[in-house]
Amino acid sequence: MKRSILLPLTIFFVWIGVILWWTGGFRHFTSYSYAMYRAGTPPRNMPDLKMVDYDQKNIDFNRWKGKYILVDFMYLHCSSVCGILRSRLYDYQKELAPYLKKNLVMVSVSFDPQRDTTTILKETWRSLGAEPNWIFASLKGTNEEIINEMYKFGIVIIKTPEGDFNHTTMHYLINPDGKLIKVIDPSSGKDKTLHEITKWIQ
Amino acid sequence: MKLQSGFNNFFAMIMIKNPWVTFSLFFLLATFIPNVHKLLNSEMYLKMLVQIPAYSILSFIIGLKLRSLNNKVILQISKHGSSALIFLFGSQTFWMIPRSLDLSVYNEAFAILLPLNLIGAGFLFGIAFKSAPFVLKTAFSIYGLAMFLAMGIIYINFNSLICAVFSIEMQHLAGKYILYVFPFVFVLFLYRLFYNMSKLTEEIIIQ
Repeated sequence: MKRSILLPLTIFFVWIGVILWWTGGFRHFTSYSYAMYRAGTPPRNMPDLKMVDYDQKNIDFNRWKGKYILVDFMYLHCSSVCGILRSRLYDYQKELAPYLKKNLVMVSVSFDPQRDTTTILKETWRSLGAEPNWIFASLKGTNEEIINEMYKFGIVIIKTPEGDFNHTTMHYLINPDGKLIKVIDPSSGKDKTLHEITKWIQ
Repeated sequence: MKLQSGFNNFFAMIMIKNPWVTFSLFFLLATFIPNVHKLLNSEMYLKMLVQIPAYSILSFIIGLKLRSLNNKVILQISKHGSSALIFLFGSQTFWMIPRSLDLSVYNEAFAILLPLNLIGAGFLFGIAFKSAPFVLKTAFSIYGLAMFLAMGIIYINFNSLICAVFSIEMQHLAGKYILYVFPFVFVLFLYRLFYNMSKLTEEIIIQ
């Protein structure tokens, strides 16, 4: 019996096409990677994030225009990776002290405003040395609004049934003009991360 | 009238002629019970080793048994074994992508698309199974086994989260269970391979 290969070949190439499109050219298989790909490669504009700091002041990134801003997104009730990243940032602030006096601000932003109140943010800031140029703030809005806003930024936040969040863990470097210029992966190690930061802000 | 007669055939097959169809349909429907569905989505190993295989395998069994129904549509489908196999394989590959898996847990549209796609693909392949070439089935089986093993090794060794909806502990556990299950699947594959090869040899000798 003569077998037709047209239909199976068509289905094969259709699936290849679907997976090629779905993964952004076979490069972005995870939600984290795809979100960053969709947000665009730096340099790019920053979304307009509305936050409130530990002094209960409404702020946004324009407040620090003219300085480099090192941003990380976290939540204080995290039972896994955020604590490790926070202690790394505590180490970085010592190494980055000359820059923090001059042209750098560190901003740790919580995407869990319901639990990370301004009081808790301030207590955390104090426990980490109360560096005046390391700001703790939380995003404004409901969980759903924040998750949607963060996705546009390239950050995936997913609430687990236990009430925790699985989320992207990157550092974001914004230049004095307010553009996102570098996304830094902290899992590359302390020295490499510091090098990535300092090579831009010198 | 035609619809009634088709339904009667199907009903007779389920209730009287073939317990495999009853069994498969029962367990397939059970995965949609809200508490069961929630449980299967709550653990990575349950999603990968129970829910996703259940959709494909149980619908495949139903399709396989329904081949014998005297129906024009089923007869047409049964001629396209290669197409059905590639469609099933493409579907499985798509849902193994971590982003697809994430969406199937937290996005409602994808939560519906997953079972629709895999049940449809499994069912079509069940109907068309016998017409799929032996070489193609074997090649895809070997590739599928290799991917399954690779998944287990990656999940157990990676210390970064691959699927955003599950925790790193769940990921490692899923990898461990995949590696436990793999030998059984491999032995089953070898058994079927040698069985089919011996049948092929017999047919060649008879000819």
